[in-house]
Amino acid sequence: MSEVRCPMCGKANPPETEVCQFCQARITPLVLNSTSDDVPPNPQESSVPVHIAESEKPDWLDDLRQDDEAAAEEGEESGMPETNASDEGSPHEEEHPEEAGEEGREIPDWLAGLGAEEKPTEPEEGKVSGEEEIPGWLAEQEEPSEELAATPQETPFEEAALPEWFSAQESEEPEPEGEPAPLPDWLAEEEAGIPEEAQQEEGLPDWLTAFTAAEALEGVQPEGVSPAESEIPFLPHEDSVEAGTGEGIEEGTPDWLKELEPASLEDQAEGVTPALIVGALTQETPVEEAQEAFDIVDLSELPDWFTEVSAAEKAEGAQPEAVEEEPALVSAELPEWLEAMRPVQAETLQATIEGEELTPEEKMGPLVGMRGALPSQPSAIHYRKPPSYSAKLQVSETQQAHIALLEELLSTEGAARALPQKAAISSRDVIRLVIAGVLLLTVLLALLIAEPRTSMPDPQFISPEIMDLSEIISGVQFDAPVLVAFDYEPGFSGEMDAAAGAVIEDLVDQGAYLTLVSTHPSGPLLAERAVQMINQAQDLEYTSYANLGYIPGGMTGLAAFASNPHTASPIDLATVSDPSHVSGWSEPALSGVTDVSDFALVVVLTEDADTARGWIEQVWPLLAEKNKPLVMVTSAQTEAVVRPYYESDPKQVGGFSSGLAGGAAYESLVGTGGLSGQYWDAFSAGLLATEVLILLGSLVSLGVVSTSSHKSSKGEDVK
Amino acid sequence: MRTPLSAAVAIIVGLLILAGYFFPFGPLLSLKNTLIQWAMILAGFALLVGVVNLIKVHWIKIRKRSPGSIYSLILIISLAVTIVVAGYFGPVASSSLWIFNNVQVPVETSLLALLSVLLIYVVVRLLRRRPDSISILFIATVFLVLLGTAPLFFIGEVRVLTVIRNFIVQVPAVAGARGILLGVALGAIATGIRILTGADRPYGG
Amino acid sequence: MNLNNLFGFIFVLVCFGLVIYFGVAARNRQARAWREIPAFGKLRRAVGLAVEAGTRLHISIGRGAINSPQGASGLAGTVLLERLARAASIGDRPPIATSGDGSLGILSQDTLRSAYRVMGVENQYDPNSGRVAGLTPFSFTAGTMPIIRDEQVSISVLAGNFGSEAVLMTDAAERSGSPTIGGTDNLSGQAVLYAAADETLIGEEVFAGGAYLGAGPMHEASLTMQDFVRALIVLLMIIASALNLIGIDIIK
Repeated sequence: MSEVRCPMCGKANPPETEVCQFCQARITPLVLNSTSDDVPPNPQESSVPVHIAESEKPDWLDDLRQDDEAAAEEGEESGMPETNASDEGSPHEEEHPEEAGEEGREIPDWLAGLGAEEKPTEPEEGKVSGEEEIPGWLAEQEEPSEELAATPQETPFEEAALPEWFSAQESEEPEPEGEPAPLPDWLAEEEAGIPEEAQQEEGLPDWLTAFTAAEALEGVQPEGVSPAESEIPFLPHEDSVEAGTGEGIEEGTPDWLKELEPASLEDQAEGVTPALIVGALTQETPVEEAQEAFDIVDLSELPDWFTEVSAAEKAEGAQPEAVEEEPALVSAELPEWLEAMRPVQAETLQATIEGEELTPEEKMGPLVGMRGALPSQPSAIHYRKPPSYSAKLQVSETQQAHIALLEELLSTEGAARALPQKAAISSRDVIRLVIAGVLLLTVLLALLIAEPRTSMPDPQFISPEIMDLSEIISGVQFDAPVLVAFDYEPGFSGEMDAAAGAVIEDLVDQGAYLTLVSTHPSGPLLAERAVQMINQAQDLEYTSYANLGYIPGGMTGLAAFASNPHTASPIDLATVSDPSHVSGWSEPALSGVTDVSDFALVVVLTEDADTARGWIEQVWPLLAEKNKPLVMVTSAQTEAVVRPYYESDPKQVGGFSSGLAGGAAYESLVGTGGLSGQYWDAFSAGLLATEVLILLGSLVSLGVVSTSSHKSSKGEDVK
Repeated sequence: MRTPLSAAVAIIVGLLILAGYFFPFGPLLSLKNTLIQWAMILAGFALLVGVVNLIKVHWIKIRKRSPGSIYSLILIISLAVTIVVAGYFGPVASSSLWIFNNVQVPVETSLLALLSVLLIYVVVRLLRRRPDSISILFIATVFLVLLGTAPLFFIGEVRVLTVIRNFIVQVPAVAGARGILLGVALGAIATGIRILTGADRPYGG
Repeated sequence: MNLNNLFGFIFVLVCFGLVIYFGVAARNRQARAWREIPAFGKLRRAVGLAVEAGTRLHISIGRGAINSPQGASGLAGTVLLERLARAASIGDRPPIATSGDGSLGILSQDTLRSAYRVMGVENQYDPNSGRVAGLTPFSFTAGTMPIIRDEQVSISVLAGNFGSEAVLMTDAAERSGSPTIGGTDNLSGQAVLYAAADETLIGEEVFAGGAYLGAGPMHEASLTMQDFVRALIVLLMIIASALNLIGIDIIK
C-alpha cells in the first residue's frame, strides 16, 4: 500500500512514517523485544491458529493480509490495521479486486501460517491455547516487564497501539477482576459464522478464537456517547455527521475508538493521565508511567475496525448473523510476557476514577471504548460547535453617525461638484476700478486745464546732480562725438521721453554728433523715435547722428563695444534702409574713435538700475583714463542706485537726472520747454490723487484689521 | 552632449575668462576677448532661439485650439508682418517705425499705466495682508516720498516735504540698496563658484 | 594688473577657498541650523498640495540673460526649478517654467529634463514645459499672465530677475486664486514683490533656495560662505568708517 492510515485520526500518512504527521500518534507499534523490533513476525511461526472460512472472511482480513505482505516486503513491522470507520471497501480491495471477495481472498500469510501449523495443544502458561509454536518475536518477549524496564522509550501508547487482539492472550490467565468485556459485534458475527472445526482446520490461532466479550474491557461499548463530546479533534462531530459528510462514520466507528474518552480536567489535575493519550503526546514518558499506563490498557478489547463489515457482507446477512450465532471464541493462552502487558488493573482504575462514566467514550483509535482518555491535543483547546451569532448587527449611535458621514463622503466623491460661481465683479475689481477712475479723471482734468497750476521747480533749489549734468552738456563742443545709449524699455518711454527730451535737445542744440547705441533690442527704434520727436518739435531735419543699432550680449557685449566700438557695431542702421546713406563710421566725427574713451561724452538713458551699474562698471574705467565724463538720465526708481556713483570720489557719474521731476528741473534750469513742463500739472495732480488714495485706503484697511482683530479677541473671550 | 564633457568645457572656459579679467596680459587677454566675442554671438543666437521657442509654443496652442489661441494667432501674424516689413524696408525705416510707434509703444506704456493702478492697490491692501509695523513703515515711506517728489497740485511746493523726501531717498534708501546689492553680489559669486566647481550643472543635465 | 584687479582676484580666491572648506573639510561637522525663511516653508507645503490636487506649479526664472550679472539670479532660479520639478514630477500636471530670455529658456528645458531623468520619469518630460514667454520685460510679463490664469496653476514662484512689472504677474495669480512667492535681485522688483507677493525673498535669499530645498552640501557650503563673507565685509566697513572718522582713509 502506498499510504498508511493513522489509527487515531484516520488520516493518510506515508508508509515509512512511524508517527502520524497530524496527531503525532504512533502508527507502527513498538515491539517489546528491541532486538526483534525490525523483524516482522513470521506468519508461519505464529502460534495462533486461524481457521476462518474463505467465504466468511471479512474484508479487514484481506486488508491485514495486504498490510502484512507490504510490511514483509518492506521489512517493516505490520502497522495497525486501517481504522477507517467509513471504509466499506478498503482501498486495497479496490486496488486489488482479484484479491477481494470471498472466493479470491487469501488469508494473510501470518494468519494462514498460524492456522496450518497450529495443532491443538494444551494451553501452556503464558501461551495461547491451540498454539503450536510461539512466534519468534513472541518467544523472545517472555519477560516483558524486564524488557520494559530496560527500554524506557517504549511508551504506553506504543504499547497500547498493539492490536487489541493481543488481548486474546489473556484468555490463559484468569483475570482477577472484572467481568470479561462483551465480545465486539463484528467478532461475534465472525465467530457465529465460523465453526469451530473450521477455525481449527484453517489454523486460526487460539488467541484469535479466544476473543470473548469477557476479555474485553469494561465499558467497551458505551453507547449514546456523542462524538461532539469528544475532545479529540479528529473525531467526527455530530454536525458533520448530520450534514452527511460523515454519516457513515459514526456507524462504522470502531468500538475501541469509541471507548477512547478524553480525560477530564479534574482527572488531569489529579494526575490521572490516560496512558494512551500520554503516549500519543510524548515519546519520553517515564518508564514507570509507561508501565503503569500499559497496565491500565485492557488489551483484551478488540478494536472496532474488526467490526467493520462491508455493506456487501451485511447485505448477505447470514454470515454476520451466523457469526453472531457462533459460540464465543476460546480464550487463548497468553504467554507470560503478553500477560504482563495486560492492563489487569484497568478495571480497578476505572472504578477508582470518579465520574468516569460521565466522561465521553472514545470512538476511534486504539482506545475505543475507553473513558477518560486524554485528548491528543492539549485540553486547553476545546473544540466545540462554533456559536451562532445573530445576523443583526448592533450598531451604536456613534457608529451610526460615523457611517452616515462616511456614506456622505463616499457619495460625494465621484459626483461632480459645481464650481462656486465667481461674481462678475468682485470687491477687488471695484477697488481697482475706483483707483483707475480717480487717477484717470485727475490727470485728464489737469491736462485739459489751459493754465498751469503747478509751478515748475525753482532753479535756486535745483539738485546739484542736475546742475552738474547741465554743466557737462553745455561743455560739449560742436561736432564732438557723443555716445548716447537708449537703454530703456518702450514701456517707460512716457517717463524717459519727458526726462531725457530736454537733454537730447540740448545736445542737438550744441551741434554734437550723436552716436546712438543700445543694449536692448528695441533701443535703436527708441533712438530713432527720439530724433523724430526732436525734428517734429523743432521743425528740424536733424541728420548728424549715427544709429549703430543693437549691441548683443548685454554687459559682455558692452565691454566688447567699450574696447572696440567699430568692431562691435560696424553697421549704421541707416545704411540698411538706404544703401546710399553714408555710414556714420565714415563721418569725420567718428573717424578717430577707436574705443569708448574717444567719445567726448557718454550719456546713458535707462530705467534699469542694473543697466546703469553695468555701464558704470564696464565703461567708466576706460573713460576715466582720458577723463571723459559719463552722465545719466534715469527713471525715478533708479536714483537710489545711481546716486552713490555720483557721490563717489572720483565721481563715476558726472551728473544725472532722475524721473520727470528731474526733467522738469533740467528744463527749468536751462530755460527750455519740453514734455516735462507739459506733463507737470498732470503729474502733480496724479501724485496728489495717488497720495490721497493711499492714505484713505490704508486708513480703511487699518480700521478693518483692527475691527476684525477686536472681534476675534472678543470671540475668544466669550469662549 | 554628455555631462562630464559639458561640465569640463564650462569649467575651463569660466576659469579662462576669470583669469583673463584679473590678469589682462598677453595671450590670456586675447583669449578672453575671443571667448567674449563668441559669447556675444551665442547671445544673439539665443535671442533667435527665444523667438523660435515663442513661435513653437503659440503654434501648438493654435493647433490644439486651446483657450486663448486666437491671441496666439494674432501674435504669430504680428510677428510675421513685422519681420517682413522690417526685413524688407529696414529696421529704422518709416514703416518699421510706424509699427513700433503705433503698436509696441502704446501697448507697453499702457501696461506701465496699469502698473501704477496695481501698485496703488497693493499698497492699500498691504495692511490687510500684513498688519505689522513694517507694513506701516513701508506705507509711510511711500507717502512721504510721493509728497516730496513734486509740488502739490493747487498747493505748490512744500520745502520741508522736499527735504524729507531727499533725505529718505539719499540716505536710508541708498544704504538699503547698497546692502541688498552686496548680498546679491555675494550670491552671484557663490553661484559662479558652484558652476565653476561643477556643483551646479544647469546645462546638459 | 592694477590694485582693483588684485583685490578682486584675492576676494574671489578667498570665497572659493571658503566654499571648498565648508563643503569638503567641514561636512562632517554638525549640520548648521539655518534661520527660517517662511517663503520656503510655504513652498514645500504648496508643492505637496499641488501634487495632491492635481494642479501644476509655475516657476518663472526671470529675464536676466546668463551673460549678464542678472544671469546669476536666473541660475539660482534654475536650482529652484530643478528641486521643485523633482518634487512635482509625481503629480498629474508637470510644472511649467517661463523665462524672458532665449538662453534661460534653453536652460529651463534642460533643467526640467534632467530633473525628470533623475526621477526616472523622463518619458513624461514635455519640452513645452520650458517656455520663452517674451523677449522684453513687458512682453515677457504679458506672455506669463495667461499661463498663470489659464493653466490651473496652484502656486507661482518668481525667482530670477524681475522688475516692477512683476506686479502684473502677482495680480494675475491673485485673480486666479493662487499664491505667489517672489524673489529677485532687482531693487524695484523687490519693493514691488514685498507689497504684492504672498511671500517674498529679500536680497540674497533667492540664492539660498538650493540650500533650503536640499540641493546638496555645496549649496549649503556656498550659503555659509556668503554669511561668513558678509560678516567680514560688515566688519571691514565698520573699521573703515571708524578710521575715516578719525581721518585715516584706507581706501586711498
